[in-house]
Amino acid sequence: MQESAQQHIDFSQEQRQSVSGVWIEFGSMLKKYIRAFFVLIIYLFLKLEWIYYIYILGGVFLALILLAAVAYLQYQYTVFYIDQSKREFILKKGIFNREKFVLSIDKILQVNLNQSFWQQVFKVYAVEIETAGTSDQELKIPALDLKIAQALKSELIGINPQERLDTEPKVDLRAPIRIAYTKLVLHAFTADYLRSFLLMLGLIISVYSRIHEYAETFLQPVEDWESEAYHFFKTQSIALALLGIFLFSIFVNAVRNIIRYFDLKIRPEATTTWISYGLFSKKNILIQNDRIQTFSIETQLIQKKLGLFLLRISQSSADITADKKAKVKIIGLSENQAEQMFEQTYHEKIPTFSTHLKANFRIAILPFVLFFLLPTIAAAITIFITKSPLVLLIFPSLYLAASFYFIPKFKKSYQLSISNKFLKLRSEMWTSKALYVRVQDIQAVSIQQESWLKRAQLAHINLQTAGGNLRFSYGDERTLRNLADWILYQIESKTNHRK
Amino acid sequence: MESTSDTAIKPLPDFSNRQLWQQDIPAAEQVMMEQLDARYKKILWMNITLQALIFLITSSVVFVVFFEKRIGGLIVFLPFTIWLGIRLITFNKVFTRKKYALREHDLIYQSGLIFKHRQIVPHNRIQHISIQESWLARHYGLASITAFTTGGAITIPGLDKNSALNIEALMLSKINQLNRTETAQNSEENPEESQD
Repeated sequence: MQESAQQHIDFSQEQRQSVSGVWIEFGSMLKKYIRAFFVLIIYLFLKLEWIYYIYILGGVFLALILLAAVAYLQYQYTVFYIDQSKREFILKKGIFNREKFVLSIDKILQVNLNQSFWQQVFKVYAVEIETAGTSDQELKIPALDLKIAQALKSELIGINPQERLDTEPKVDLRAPIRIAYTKLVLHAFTADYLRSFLLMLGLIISVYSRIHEYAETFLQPVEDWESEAYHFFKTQSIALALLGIFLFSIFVNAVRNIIRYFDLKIRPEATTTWISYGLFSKKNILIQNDRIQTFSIETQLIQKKLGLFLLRISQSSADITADKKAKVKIIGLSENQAEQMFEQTYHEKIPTFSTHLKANFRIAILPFVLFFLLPTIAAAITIFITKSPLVLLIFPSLYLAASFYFIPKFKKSYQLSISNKFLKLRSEMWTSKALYVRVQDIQAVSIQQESWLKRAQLAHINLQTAGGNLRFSYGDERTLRNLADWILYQIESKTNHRK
Repeated sequence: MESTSDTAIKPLPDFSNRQLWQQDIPAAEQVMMEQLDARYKKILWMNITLQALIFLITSSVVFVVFFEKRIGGLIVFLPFTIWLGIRLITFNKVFTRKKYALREHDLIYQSGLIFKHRQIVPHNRIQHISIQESWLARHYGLASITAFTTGGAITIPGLDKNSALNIEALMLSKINQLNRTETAQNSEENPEESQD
């Protein structure tokens, strides 16, 4: 920020990107076209006589020149400036289809500086601007020098010079939160392996069928190795193969997570939090603390033993399901660091909750059926169908027996806690979760009840925020209605209250 | 469930949330929910007819193509009959369950017979309001009103067009009023903050 003050870049004039923007543009277009055409080109190489190679190469060469020209024009036509009088940021792009984006600066949620491969080569940054109203990927300036990028960012976020004067003395130089590499690696190995296992399974199946397809069209005798593979799967029992895939997917998942969260650093500032991570593509995320809507600390049995916690925060966004950037996930935190992040976000410690609401036993029915009953039945059926030794039935039964530990635990832990300013939804089974929502962030309240719950006097409450919902199910109807009234009172009396 | 909870979250008594839009006698304690316009029933009937037609056609196609018009195949019409029966029997109840209320500080809409649902949106969370008229609704002089927040929207269908406009005007004035007090407070608060 000091650098930007020294440089005095006048953003009210039309600005262009760094000249290397031409190459960035070129690189990204090249990537797109290679992805689209490489199958065709390889096909031509394989099919045509070598005489024609010269034409192909010539064509490719021509295309490259054309791309470079387009990239240059693209660079020429991408300009941006700030209209100070209207407090608007304007971005113009496009050669034939001219596009003009006008953003009210107050609506800007986040400004991200990103460096993917090409940007790293040319030592520039891509600036991505996010607003709540549009989840538009287009609001991106591909190549800016670091200083200009930072100046633009401070111009767009925390712009008001008086505001800055106000906040600057308050900036206590908080120590950055660093995630130890050992913790990162441990968390990478234990994080969502089930999902990556299913992904891997899907991938292997699709790759297998793809290979099968190609082999059938290009090679004739596929029968041999195919039947061999089939034989393997049949004889070596599917369970063993699945175990292999499982271990492999844990490994791949770990590597993926380590690459993704490599060098994870969190730098807390007075009203914002900087998060940066990534090995190959460095991500810099700037979070404005007052835009955070939900705050969730998660862990699971193994991770808890190792003292590993995951943090999931969501910011206000027009379309929370489509907008990936609105949700930020950080792994490898210690419990202390997670609490520190809470304090950083809400400027207060995690409150002690005085009121706790419990749910009826019906809350456990769905998890029991979904996580225990159905998998057990599925496993049992597979054992019968594949005519495997019936001794194997011991595994599903053991699994089902585990539900006698986990289901009551879940039922006992599931609770909604209420303090003056916060609501906390806790649940614990294999994974444990604590979701925090600030009362003032709630946008709408709804109470739901299926007609068969009327006699039991049970209902659900759904609290909507701009960054996701908090839903508490199977609570006492009257208490929930009271709670709804209380929340509405908190929200609606806010303006009166501050007088 | 726990007895302590009730006392802890009771609204404070000095806070009033009077009902703003109400055609009947105001009830002090409870919110009197307003019925939707009776003409909206016609639109609901149209919807049911359309759904019934689609359901009937698909059932018939299944009956002809898969069961080749065998007597036993008539079973494919069972879901349709059950569905239609439920819709016809519950029609009036479903309609009367759809109610709304406009209070001083919020908008309420409830619906659902089997899946009961009551949604409340405070005025100071509303981003914008829109009024929609489908061609059918216009024919009957009806409109629906939607209030958008950043965390979801609430739609009240089947309002008399004039009522919808009135509600919109009331809400907008309420929202503007809230905005004004808020900005006034902010400018009051700012000098205090700089002293800190």
